[in-house]
Amino acid sequence: MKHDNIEMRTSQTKRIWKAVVKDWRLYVLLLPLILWFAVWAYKPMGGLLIAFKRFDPQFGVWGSEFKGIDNFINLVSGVNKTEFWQAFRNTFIISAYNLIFGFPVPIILALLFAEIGNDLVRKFAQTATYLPHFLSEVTITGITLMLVYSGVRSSGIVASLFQQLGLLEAGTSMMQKANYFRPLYILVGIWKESGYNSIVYFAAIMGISPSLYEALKVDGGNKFQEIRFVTFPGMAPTLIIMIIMRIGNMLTIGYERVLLLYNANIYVTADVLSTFEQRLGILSGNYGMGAAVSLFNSFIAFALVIGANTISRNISETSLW
Amino acid sequence: MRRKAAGALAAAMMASALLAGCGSSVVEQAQEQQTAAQTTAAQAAGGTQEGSGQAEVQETADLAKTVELKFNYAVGNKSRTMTYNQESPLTLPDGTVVTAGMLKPMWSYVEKELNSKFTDVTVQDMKSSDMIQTESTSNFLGANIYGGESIAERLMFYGTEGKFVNLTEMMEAGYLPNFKNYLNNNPDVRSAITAYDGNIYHVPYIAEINQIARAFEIRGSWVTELLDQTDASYDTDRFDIYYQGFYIGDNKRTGDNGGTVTPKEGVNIAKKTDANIIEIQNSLDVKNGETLTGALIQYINDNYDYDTPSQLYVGEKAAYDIDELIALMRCIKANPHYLTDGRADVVWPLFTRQSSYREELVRLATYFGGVKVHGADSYKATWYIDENGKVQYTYSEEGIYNVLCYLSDMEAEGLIYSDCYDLTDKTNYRSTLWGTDDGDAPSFGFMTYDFIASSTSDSLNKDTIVILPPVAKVNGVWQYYMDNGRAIKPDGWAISIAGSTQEQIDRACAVLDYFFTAEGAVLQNYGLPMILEENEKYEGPDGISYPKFNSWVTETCNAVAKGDLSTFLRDWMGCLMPIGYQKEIGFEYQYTSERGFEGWALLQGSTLHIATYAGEGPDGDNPNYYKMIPPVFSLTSRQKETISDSTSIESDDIVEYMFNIVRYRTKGNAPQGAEVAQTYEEYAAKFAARGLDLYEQTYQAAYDVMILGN
Repeated sequence: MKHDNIEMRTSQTKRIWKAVVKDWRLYVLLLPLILWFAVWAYKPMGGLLIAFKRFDPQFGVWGSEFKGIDNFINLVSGVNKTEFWQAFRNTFIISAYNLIFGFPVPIILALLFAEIGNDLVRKFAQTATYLPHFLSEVTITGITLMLVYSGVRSSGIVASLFQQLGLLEAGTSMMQKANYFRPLYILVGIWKESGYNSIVYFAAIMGISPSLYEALKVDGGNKFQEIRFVTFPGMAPTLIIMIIMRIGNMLTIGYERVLLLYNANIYVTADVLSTFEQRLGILSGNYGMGAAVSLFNSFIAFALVIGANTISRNISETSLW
Repeated sequence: MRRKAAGALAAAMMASALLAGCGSSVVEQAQEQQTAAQTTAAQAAGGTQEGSGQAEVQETADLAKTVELKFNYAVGNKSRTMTYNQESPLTLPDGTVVTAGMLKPMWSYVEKELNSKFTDVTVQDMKSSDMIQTESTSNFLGANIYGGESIAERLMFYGTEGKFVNLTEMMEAGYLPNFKNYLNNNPDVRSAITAYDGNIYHVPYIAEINQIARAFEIRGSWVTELLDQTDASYDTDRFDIYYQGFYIGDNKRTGDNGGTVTPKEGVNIAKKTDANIIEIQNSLDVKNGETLTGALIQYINDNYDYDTPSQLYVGEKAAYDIDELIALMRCIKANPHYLTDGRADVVWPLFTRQSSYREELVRLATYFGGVKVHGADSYKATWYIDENGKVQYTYSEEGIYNVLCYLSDMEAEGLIYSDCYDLTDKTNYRSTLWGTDDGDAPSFGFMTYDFIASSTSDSLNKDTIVILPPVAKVNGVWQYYMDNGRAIKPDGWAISIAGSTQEQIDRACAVLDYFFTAEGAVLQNYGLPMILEENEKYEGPDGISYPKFNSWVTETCNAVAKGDLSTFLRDWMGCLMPIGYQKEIGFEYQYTSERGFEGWALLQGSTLHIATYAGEGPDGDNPNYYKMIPPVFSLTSRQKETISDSTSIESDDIVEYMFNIVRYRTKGNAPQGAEVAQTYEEYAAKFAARGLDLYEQTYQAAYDVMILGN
């Protein structure tokens, strides 16, 4: 029996090697990616140890005092627990909003682009929507803050509009009102990224065989039916992969935009785990606790990816693995 | 199989990517102290204030050999480093041209004087705290001298960890003789910079210690126009009131309770009745500019024997209390058209220079019964010593909560400039509210609390004047008091051990010591000898002679720095940087306007007291009341850990929480998410939940060590 197992494993290894040798060119192409992951993903993982230590930069990761899971206990039940759970909740809510409102927009854009018959007009429209992606977060948030600024001496155009509509008191900054943060964050995100994100969906649409559309037309299908019965099914694998990846990134909200937009008065809706981690870890110098927030975040995200993939695998034929 | 392998690889990569994401009068007092400090500095330097002697050179320094020193001096602003970072070159009086990338002239001069080769290795825009954090990972190997702003606590901490040279030992060995003499003559400074292990590891930036830091400045003409005009056409728009007064009920100001006050020796101002102007204004049937102002004028005439009503506020006989000040602010607020000749619909009685100075508003606490808030001229100074010798955290106290509520009433009445609270707004309000009168879009402000020289600058507004602070019962005694003295700043520099050879340590000690010689002090405070009058001194209003700038300074400063002498000396010449040295007031005097000098004279001629390290003042309830304590304490590793892990008091949102009370409590218009404490119990609970007890215990332990060590 033992002998049979060894033989089976040997033959499996042989088969893998055979496959590698056969398609070695593909694996060479994979090599830079593996290196990237090795250097930027695996190697820094050793640093996660600081989540279990009282990290002091002068002693390094190994030299710092070991504290076990104290940082985690402190985080969820210590003096920072209110802020931690608040950030945790905000991260989920903002991510969910992002998924609900941000995810469909690039798809709709891609569908619209696909319907533009004139190549010149389509390329212009696509370029125009891609452009904000190439502006830095600082520029984008700077423009945003200018638009919503409302002070004693002047107001931005959006703030003025809100004042005219009676939604904002004169002299009150929108950025001091917690209830404006999330919509603003989502809208800025849509403005900045939806054009660029539509590329992948547009590519998926372009990959659908025109004969399918022709067949539907012959069967008397209208435009909406084309979208429903041809385009969506054709895009499904891409959509599912993208949604799984979005779910995996649910807890990794880009902290730059939050950091540039928020202030202490609106932490209640704006503070997310990454900004909380930045304040606790970098600004307060409590690196161990900061790393603990991050590790906690990663474990949840990991679980979400596994969960989303499993669900997807069970209800459709598409999954990441 | 291949698909499975690729899938497993992709899954592993995704998982790893997720995990990898972790990773007598005040001025006499101050003058005496200033003179003593300067004399001791000069004595330490082996000379006099006039610099007639040569600096004592440390016996162990061998300046014969050129030694290279690397500096990492970060202040988060590339214009303020040792390196000249201006786009246009600067031509010095001797024809030397300084261009971008070179050392600033003061540093080139020191380099030659000490026969050294200075290299600035600073990442020019880096913040001090970031620099220290980054460099600590390499044991401060990258430079010989490290320095910056608000890093004293870290310099002390890393010093105790063996990263910086023990200057106490060096002084005992004969190094740093001038600094040693300075400390011997200024034990308060020694105490403030001594780490918990009893040693000194850094040389601090000492502002004009024991001098008045800031003062109340107003548009002078507005008070006289408002109160002294007989045929004024005041505004009649409705004014809503919220503030109910401080000197009311059992606290009426009369008799022993502030009935007679003494703004100047020999000048007693008596208040004739126990009437309260706030109550009078609040009881008016119609409240507008006309009625409020009429009531105030009548009140002053009924209660005081002044030639003109404005004297209650302006000049050496000023005897107004906080209620009378708020009553005046109401009149200002209610008369925008009258005061601005119809140019503005809104005026702002009280403002801070910028939103990052908003804590200045809370300094009004002193005038609500002497509540302690900052003491030293640093917002980090949030401790005071009670009558039992224990340190107390000011922000969490009931007195402060009550003051925040009073400020909230003032905010609701529109007396405080609304933008002051918004930290995202970087506007210089002093420039807009005082400096735009003749502009296309004028804005008008009345009063601020700021430095005298810059606030009374002719280029800003020629109407601004200094007034005495409100008179108040402070520490149980009715007096004129400003709980705001210039301090030993939490800035400075230290010498790295890992990054230095013994030769470099010796030379670095010579550099640190040099700025405590007469010559070095003049260089850092005023600049190169070539920019100072050779045979002429500047006679300050305090009677002390200071080096005098020559015409080149004025001309060049006007040409390149819009006449801002402070900026010119810092950003072009390399002077007045927060390195380890004693700053002198002589520079400030030389760009003070006539009105500024009048302000100095007013304060210096009054009975005003300020917070000082010596802590001298009229006997009262708390013998430690007037004593400033250093903004930073030396904490041990364990104490730092305790603060970091078990408290969250030092969080920026706690100040926001305090200002939420000011902004929203009275008006009741707090936006969703903004926490507003409605009662002191609620307010105190917030601090308790953030570990206040442990925080105070930790700092008490650190303070005890500081006291025991000295």
